[in-house]
Amino acid sequence: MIFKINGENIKFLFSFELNSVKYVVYENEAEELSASRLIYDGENASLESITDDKEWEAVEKEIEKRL
Amino acid sequence: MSRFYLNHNKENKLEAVYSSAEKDSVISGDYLTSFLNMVMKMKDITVNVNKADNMIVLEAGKDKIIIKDAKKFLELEKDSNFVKFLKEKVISTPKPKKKIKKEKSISYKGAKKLASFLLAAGIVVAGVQGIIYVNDKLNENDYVIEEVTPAPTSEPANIIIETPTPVVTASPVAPTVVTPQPTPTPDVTIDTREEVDREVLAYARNIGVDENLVIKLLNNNDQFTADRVGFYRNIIDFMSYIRSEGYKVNVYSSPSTAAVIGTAQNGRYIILPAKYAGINSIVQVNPGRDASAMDAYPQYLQYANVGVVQDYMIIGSANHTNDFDSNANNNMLMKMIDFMTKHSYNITNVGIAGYNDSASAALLNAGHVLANYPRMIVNVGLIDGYNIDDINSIIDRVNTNGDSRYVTEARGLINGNPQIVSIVPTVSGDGISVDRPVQALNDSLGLNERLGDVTIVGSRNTNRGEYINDALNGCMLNYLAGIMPKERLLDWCDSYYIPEYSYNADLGRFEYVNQTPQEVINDTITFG
Repeated sequence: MIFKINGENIKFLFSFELNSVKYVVYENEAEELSASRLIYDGENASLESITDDKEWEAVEKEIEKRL
Repeated sequence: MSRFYLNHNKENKLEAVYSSAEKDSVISGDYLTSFLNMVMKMKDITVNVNKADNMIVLEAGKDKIIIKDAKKFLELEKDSNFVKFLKEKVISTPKPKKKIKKEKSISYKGAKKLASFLLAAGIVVAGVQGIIYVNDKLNENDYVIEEVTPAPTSEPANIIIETPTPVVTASPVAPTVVTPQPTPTPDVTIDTREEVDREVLAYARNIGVDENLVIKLLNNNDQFTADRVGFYRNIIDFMSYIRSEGYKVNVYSSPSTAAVIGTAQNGRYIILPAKYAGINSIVQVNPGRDASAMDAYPQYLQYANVGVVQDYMIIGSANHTNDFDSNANNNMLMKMIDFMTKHSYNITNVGIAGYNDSASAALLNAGHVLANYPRMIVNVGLIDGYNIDDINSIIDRVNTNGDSRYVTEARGLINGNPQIVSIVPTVSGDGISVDRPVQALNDSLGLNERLGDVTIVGSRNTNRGEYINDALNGCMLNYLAGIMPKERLLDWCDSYYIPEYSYNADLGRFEYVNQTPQEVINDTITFG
């Protein structure tokens, strides 16, 4: 499934939860994978980019496991 | 594993040698052309060049094609399409691993629209109030949300994913009404895939279905849909049911198919729940036959591009016999219809297609549905093989254990019961025309009717050729369902009579059969 975010087609792949934080994994048009934190309050959903290296490392490991 | 050696003989003519423990079979001439065409159409084939040993090795699943003298091969065949194909493949393989990039991590201040989308995609499961209409298809599997409409607050969350309506041409009788299936609301609110999987596994455990099979099923499904729990419960129920009928259950994965396969003694049944969940697994039920017999199945379905079909598609070896009820195939097919209609599969119409000798059996199965579910809409497509008189005569002869209702109903279908949408009898006019499948299908193409929620395809029951026929049926239904383009269908049919693998019951494994098309046909038209 594709969703246009910030002008770019983002293909959502799957989600997972790590340390009580939800993440969504997606692919951009250049077929690069990435992930964002998913903040969902029951009505609105937002994505937050992951900037912390330690957090990213754990997320990347989790994605690798699932691919 | 099958091995083929592709090389030039002493006369410098290209040939493929299929090597087995017993003997080697040589494929040449037109068969070789067909064989190479088939190879070029294979998905997920990899090409490895071993310069040191002057070899090229192609691998697809368990099959290997080995070119021993690669230098000579490339020189002599340099202008061929096959060499062009190899070059393209070598350039494109191995597939580069996709990079996971932190700097591409995005932020998006979302709103209901994003939440709803994520919900529809199964990425979030919760009660968003809204109705999502998804109706702009970007390509095969991608959708973009067009509109989000708030639902009345007094009503529970309601998600309707509306798929594009297939093209329906004018029908000789009543047109099929295509009703989008509402996505069942999960009865458990679960937030993550892991939790869903746990729930599904617990359900399987409770009813005693092998957890390992279910794990395999879950792992092969990349989609995470909002109704995942309900969907898998249905599958598990079905597995449990099949097992209770004394059948073994297995899970097969396949990149492009989604199926539950059950085999009776000499037939098989497939349910394709692809539209529901995009599941990439095949559950195979395989009694009385060596498991390896079914190994090629996903492969054939893959060749046939049987992917997304309808909510469920059943391919059954419904075959006409004088004792219709006791025939394992017919019996099982009817049981499956019963099971699915009684177990919340939300089926309101059934499509039944009979190909060749299964035409009459398809009609009788349709009769069975009508006799037991009089409100069900039944669409019947009969392709090839018999004219109406022949079908009538077969129906006259069958023994239905005293229950003549479905014979009556089947007759009603023939005689213009308004529930029937299409009957395509006798394309060839001379009985069986399996030797002209392209023509037969081509002639049938004028009858583009959307089949029902459940599509049942009759198929033959001999060992040889049955896989091809099931795949052909799948192609046909994909076309009828408006999914497979005509060109693709005919393209597939062009390679229909390539020498195929065939299951050798005596040896208990698949063998490559190098027969003339006519020999294959002769072997595949054994009835009963």
